[in-house]
Amino acid sequence: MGTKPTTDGQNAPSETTAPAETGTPESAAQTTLPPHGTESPPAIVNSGPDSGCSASPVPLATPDAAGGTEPASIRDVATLPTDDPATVNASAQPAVATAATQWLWIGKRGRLPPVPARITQQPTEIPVQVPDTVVEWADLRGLSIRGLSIRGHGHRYEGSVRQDQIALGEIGEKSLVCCAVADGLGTQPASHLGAAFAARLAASWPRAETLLTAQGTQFDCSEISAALQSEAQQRGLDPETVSTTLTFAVIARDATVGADGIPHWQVAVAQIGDSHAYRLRSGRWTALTKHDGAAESLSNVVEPLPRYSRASVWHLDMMAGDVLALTTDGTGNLLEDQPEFALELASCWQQSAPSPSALLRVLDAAVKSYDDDRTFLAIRFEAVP
Amino acid sequence: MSNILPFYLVCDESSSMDGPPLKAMNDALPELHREIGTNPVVCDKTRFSIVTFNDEAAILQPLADLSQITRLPELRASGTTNYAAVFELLRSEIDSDVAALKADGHRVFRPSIFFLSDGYPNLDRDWQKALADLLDPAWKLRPNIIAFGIGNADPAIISKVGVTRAFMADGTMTPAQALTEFAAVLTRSIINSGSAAGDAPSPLMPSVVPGFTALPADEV
Repeated sequence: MGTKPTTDGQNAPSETTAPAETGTPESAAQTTLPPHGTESPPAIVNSGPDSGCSASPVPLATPDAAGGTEPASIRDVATLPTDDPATVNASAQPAVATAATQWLWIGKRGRLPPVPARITQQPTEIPVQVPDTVVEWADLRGLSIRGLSIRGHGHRYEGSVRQDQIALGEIGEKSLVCCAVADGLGTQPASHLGAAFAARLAASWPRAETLLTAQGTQFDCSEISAALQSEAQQRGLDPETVSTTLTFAVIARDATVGADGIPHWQVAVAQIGDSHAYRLRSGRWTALTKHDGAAESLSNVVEPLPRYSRASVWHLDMMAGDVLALTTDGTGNLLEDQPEFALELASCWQQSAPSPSALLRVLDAAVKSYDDDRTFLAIRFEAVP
Repeated sequence: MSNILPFYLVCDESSSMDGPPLKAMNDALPELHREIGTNPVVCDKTRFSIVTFNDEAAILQPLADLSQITRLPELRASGTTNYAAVFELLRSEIDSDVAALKADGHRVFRPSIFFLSDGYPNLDRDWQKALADLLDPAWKLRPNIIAFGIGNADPAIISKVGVTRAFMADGTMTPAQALTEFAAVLTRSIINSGSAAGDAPSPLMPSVVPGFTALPADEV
């Protein structure tokens, strides 16, 4: 049983509480990677000079600027080596382009970079075609957003479609950014439609505006559930066949400078099912939403839309330099189980948001038995000069 | 670390299984081996074992990645039908198998047992106590059990063993034909469960098996 979430904590770790419906929070568990050089060479990916991301120990931030003790409802899953104490405080620095963020310029460098400077207005109609991989990205003032939804290697082998989806949107007269990920249930034949529709709907759902100020630990998403059922019925489908998880974050675009002199952003995350959110701070991944601990329970049951419409809610305080990542379990399980993957992924975000191609290289790593679709939608909170 | 779903084929090798029934199983197992062992999605995530029983119980095929073994051993019939021995053996095997997988750094999902019998259990051993131990709610690794009965198997007992699902041959096929269907369902279940990418209950089972009638869940 969790306590009431708070939106005004200055110490970020105090902001998360486990919602009532998800039961007793697990005790904090931490996986700390060995110091660089003591681990075996990367078996999954190479970190050559052209790789974009590198697992080499680029100095990271000073110790967690927020300080304090992590609450039991969140847990650290992996830590990037921070073996240089004389490092800059990444939280206070504006983004600096690194190998991971650069793209190819040919000829005289123009003013127009490839990264979108605004969020695209998307139709809610769901295209029938499901491409192997989708990219969503944008560099807004203070928010660098990078999202990939990649077809799992199992689905590629079988020739079946990706059932994950991502979506970006703006609500509250563009004062809020909404990011959503959804994971259609593998056992349901039209779950790719459910995931696509649920994510798209959530990302532009006007009522999501109230999520930031919502009281309690649950949020009513029955509008999304009803729309999903209606969409299924219009297509002559049983609503169960479009079952999907949904996790979405609402982010206030305008930061406020805290007493620590660092910009802070208010964020709320709503979750139906087992698609989890993580924070990367000072090279350390922390699970922000409760993990069902499949390895312990031997179970993999999820409670999806449209049958379940009560979302668990977490209110978060993000600081400049933090990365908030929404994932489906295909990525979340890798992040929690495979330190090398967590390290590579953290490396991409060390000083700035990566290019989609650099991110793809890491997210699409071949890892035995991890063949689920992989979705990762992350926001790096940037101090604006 | 990998995600592993362990499967156990638990097969009655009593003398009444001799002849066409056991031949059908021995004919079907190489096909199961080929289908699973050559599917990279499934063999990366599943492990398969064969446990047999007659007067006693034995591990015919230790839990293995089917892509890593050249052939499955053959079943041979003799003796009686000792349920207690096989349930006791399964409990200890699952304990040691899961411990070994976890020691190798794997994430292990709940084991699934496909139990097949054509007879009535020996009465000289308390098989119900052994079954209760195997299904002990306090034992974290308690398996899912899908039970199939053919020939002289008692539907009430098959229903009691098959806590996840239970099926009884309906007499529309010969025992050998029914066992061919059983083997096909076993293969399909392993493939579907392995392919479900970890977001479905395991094992994934068809609700209808040709030649068999689904038995109602055992009520107490």
